Amino acid sequence: MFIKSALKLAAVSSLIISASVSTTAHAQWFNSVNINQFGSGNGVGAAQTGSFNHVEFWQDGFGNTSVASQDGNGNVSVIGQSGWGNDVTTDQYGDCNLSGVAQFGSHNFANATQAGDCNALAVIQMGHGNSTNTNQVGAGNVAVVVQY
Amino acid sequence: MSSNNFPFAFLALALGGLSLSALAVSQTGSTALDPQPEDQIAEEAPLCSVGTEKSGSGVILSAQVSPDETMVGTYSLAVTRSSGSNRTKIRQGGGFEAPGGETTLLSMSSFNSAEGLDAELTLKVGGKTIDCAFTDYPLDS
Repeated sequence: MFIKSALKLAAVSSLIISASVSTTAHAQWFNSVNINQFGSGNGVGAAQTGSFNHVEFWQDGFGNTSVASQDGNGNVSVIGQSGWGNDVTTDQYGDCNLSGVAQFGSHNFANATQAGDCNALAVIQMGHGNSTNTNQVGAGNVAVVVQY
Repeated sequence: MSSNNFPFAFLALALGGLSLSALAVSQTGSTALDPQPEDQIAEEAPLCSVGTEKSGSGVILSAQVSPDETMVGTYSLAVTRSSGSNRTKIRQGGGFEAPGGETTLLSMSSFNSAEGLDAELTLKVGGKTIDCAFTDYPLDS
């Protein structure tokens, strides 16, 4: 019994230790961020101000969180997650921004906000118990949501 | 015998003819009273609507407004979709200026299926709030 508990504790500790948080911030044009994380309980965040910036995250595991915020025009954020209980939040302010979220697994959550004109966002979720919440304020905005 | 019966037979025929004529007149009269195409009130095109159309293997939901005169205001579209255990909530809104006599597209959303899809479009124009029908589920149904 004690051994089992110790093993569980060790496993949980290793998970906590393996959890990491990555953050990055850029201001200018044509910046690019690409972060991949494997494991569980990871967190990644990026903020970019300017135009034509690019954010790309990939997280594989469970209980991961991605946050991307972009302020400007022509920005792109792409976030992929596989596993379960993962969470994505993206915010884009300005015109003609593009946001893409792909989540594979179950009980994942995607929250995307775009404020401005000519924005487009796409969310693809494969699995069950997934949830998408999108907000777009402005004119000529397009949202694509695919859930299987 | 036949000569004696002739007036009665003639009278019966005459009465029969009269009744047929009266029936014909009454039929003609009712036809004349039926609404003619030119009398019918033309069905007004909806000012605004939300509708879906198939696109490939999915559907596109579009919100549009078709005013007679130029219309300036704001729109708010709330779309929800419930498919199995998955949930989607989309909010789109903002200002618009729609020229009169034209159909202006306010926003578009795309889904892999129309299953469990619902939408509510609201316009605010000159202090008035206008609810627009989701053509797949008309408000008056």
